Amino acid sequence: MSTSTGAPSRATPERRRLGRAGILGALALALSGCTYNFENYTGDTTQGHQIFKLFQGFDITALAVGVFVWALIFWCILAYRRKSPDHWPRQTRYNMPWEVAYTTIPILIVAVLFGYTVVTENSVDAVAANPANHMSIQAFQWGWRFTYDNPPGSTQPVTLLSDPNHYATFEIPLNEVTRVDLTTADVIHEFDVPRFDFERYAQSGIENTFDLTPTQTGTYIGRCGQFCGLHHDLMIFYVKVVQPATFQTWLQQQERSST
Amino acid sequence: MTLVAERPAVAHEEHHEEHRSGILYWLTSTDHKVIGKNYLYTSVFFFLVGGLMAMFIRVQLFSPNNTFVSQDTFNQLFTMHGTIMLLLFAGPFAFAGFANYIVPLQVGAPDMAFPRLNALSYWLFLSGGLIMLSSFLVAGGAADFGWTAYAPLSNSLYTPGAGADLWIVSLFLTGFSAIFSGINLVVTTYGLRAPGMTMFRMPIFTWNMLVTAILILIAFPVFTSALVMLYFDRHFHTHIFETNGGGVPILWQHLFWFFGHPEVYILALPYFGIVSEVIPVFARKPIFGYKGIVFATLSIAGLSTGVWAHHMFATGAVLLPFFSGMTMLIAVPTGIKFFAWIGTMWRGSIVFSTPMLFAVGFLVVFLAGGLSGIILAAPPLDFYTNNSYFLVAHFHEVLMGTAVFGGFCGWYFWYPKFTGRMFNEKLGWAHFWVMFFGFWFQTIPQYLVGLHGMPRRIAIYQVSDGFTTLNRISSVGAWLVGLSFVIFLVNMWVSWRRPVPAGGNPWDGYSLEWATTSPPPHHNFERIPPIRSERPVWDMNHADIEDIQPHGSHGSHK
Repeated sequence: MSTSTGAPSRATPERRRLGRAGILGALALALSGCTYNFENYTGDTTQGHQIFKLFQGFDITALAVGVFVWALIFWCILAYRRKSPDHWPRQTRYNMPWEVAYTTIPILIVAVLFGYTVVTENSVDAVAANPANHMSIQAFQWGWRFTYDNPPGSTQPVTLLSDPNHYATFEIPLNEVTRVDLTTADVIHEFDVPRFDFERYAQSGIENTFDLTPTQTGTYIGRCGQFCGLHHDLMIFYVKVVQPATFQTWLQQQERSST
Repeated sequence: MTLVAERPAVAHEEHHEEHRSGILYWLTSTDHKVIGKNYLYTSVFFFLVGGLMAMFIRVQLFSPNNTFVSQDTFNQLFTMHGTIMLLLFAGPFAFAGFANYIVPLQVGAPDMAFPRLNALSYWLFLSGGLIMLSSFLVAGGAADFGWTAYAPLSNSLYTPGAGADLWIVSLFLTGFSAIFSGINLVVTTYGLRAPGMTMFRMPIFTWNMLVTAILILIAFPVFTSALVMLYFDRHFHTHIFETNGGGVPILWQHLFWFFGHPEVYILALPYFGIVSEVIPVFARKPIFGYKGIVFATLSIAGLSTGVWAHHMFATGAVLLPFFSGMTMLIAVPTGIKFFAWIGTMWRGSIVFSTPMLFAVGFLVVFLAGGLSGIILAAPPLDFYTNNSYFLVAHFHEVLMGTAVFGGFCGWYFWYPKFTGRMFNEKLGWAHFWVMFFGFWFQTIPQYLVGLHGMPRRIAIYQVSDGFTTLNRISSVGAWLVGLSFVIFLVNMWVSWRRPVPAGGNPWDGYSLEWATTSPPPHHNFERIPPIRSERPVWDMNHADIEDIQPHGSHGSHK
């Protein structure tokens, strides 16, 4: 039986050139990645923007690893097709240096990603000592109750109701901290404002607290993320980010109309 | 001990089997191959049913404000699609179908360790599956709380119908079926290995099935108990998952995902095992880094029991760094496997028969799903994307990469062994390429529409949401995937009508199932070749090739 051992030697000039082009390509990709948003929303709160920055880093890493591994797979597909039925390749079973390398390098990559993750999650979940605006948001089947706990110059909280017949718009002040205490009246729901890059569960037995510090004015659609029964898709609401002065005026109007 | 243990006496049973035929044989057989085939056919049937539901879901999402199905029907459809695909197809297809048929053959055993328990396990699975389907017939329809059945939505107040009860009872039965299969697999691999078949000579598929079986024994009892608790909440006025009465709804999530995450690996490891069998055979090389793969499998299993709360990052009630760190670590053993598969192909001699096409398709698809999994493992990124279509795209890449690409890889690989017939290569080729292209059209738009804010499990979206174009592309992709299964069925029909004999070892396979006839006789082997490596059949067939004996490098010399 005839035998032949594998492909020709590894370091031909063409292959070296290919390798260099690959490295340059990866660098170009990484650099352009720093400005490209990868179809993510850039996060219109300070918290959401940090999430976006972390996402960019993960996208670049994932694409780099993906392109590298896909390239290896496609190389095998193209280069090692059986050319003759008598071709018996070398029966390599293991190669310790390579196996150690492909175990340790991923551990290092993961450790770096983990470090950035922990820093970002601590910062996103941190709550300010003195929020400018304090809200309680309660989800129910199928709508939302938005309550301003301490509107200025009043002892009465102000409440807005959102349900499938009327999607409410609640306002929050630009560049100031809005504290949210999130609860539910029945099943599990999820507060979800896609353009803030942020979601949080509303569940009975657990009160979730988080801060939103919007950095752009505008009106944003909000939804329920967690499936909650028949009219889950109608739990829509709007958040309007306005200048602090405008916010105060609007809140006083709401106060008058509710009393 | 197993090396010298005597084989169980089976002769008298064989005598009985010979006298049965047709439906009676099928109903009463305890032969692992008959039961394995029953599992395979039944789970593929459920796969087609679940797939049909996916087609309807994609019709509904094709247009904004669509009224193809009602809101209520849509909720039933995605609940049943998820439940059927995960618990009645992807799991049983591998750990009961392939495992039943292949594991005893690969370790050189005449049958599973407990043949009658094995039969019971199949009938429990079939009854559970039929109960699940029958729930569409009751008043109020099937369960409609999502396949995760989060409390308190799943209690009798918010989901009063009988459909939900049938869902619980069905999964209770299939849960026991899985546990029995797990016990059987563990005992078979530990106790029934042929002389010479040491643990480190077992094929990777058998290793992976052993680890899967251990994971089943860790995960399924928890789920099955949680189902009983849920049933008690619904009917016997307990308040385990309800706040009023002192219960905690989030406990359901902990119990469900303590099952649910190992379950993901129960669904994935068998298919990793399948491609680990297929790639070496079609690259004419031994698996690269055998022990590395075994330890990677064991560490995936270990880590998978400590990551369940990564499904609960957005609850605000779990320790984020622990669960995200453990989850990211799973990338390391998974990476080891990828490089081992690539190392197996490296400088090999590859032919792209249908099983190999599906194996490489698995590599390409699963890599994408794995990478988006790393993104979801970071809690801040999960805050953005959990419960969005980004997540849907991620787990369809993971699960279709494994259970569908990996599953059909195994199907085409072992089909000649199961039936003694070949299938049509051209139709197999068409099946792969239609599915592969359809698959990317289906999932990539789902990633994008998720990042643009589309939540999962909504029946209706508006024109103003801007989700229309991406959903349309995704629907067309999903229908292409659906079409590919029609090609698959045609292929099977052609092979059934015009049989082409396969012979005992059509692929030049390595492990013991290729040392016997196709299909194997009732007790599998007339005689077993000597087992001196993890490739006994290769050793037997290619001992004459001097230059290609096993080779490896420790790096100390070149």
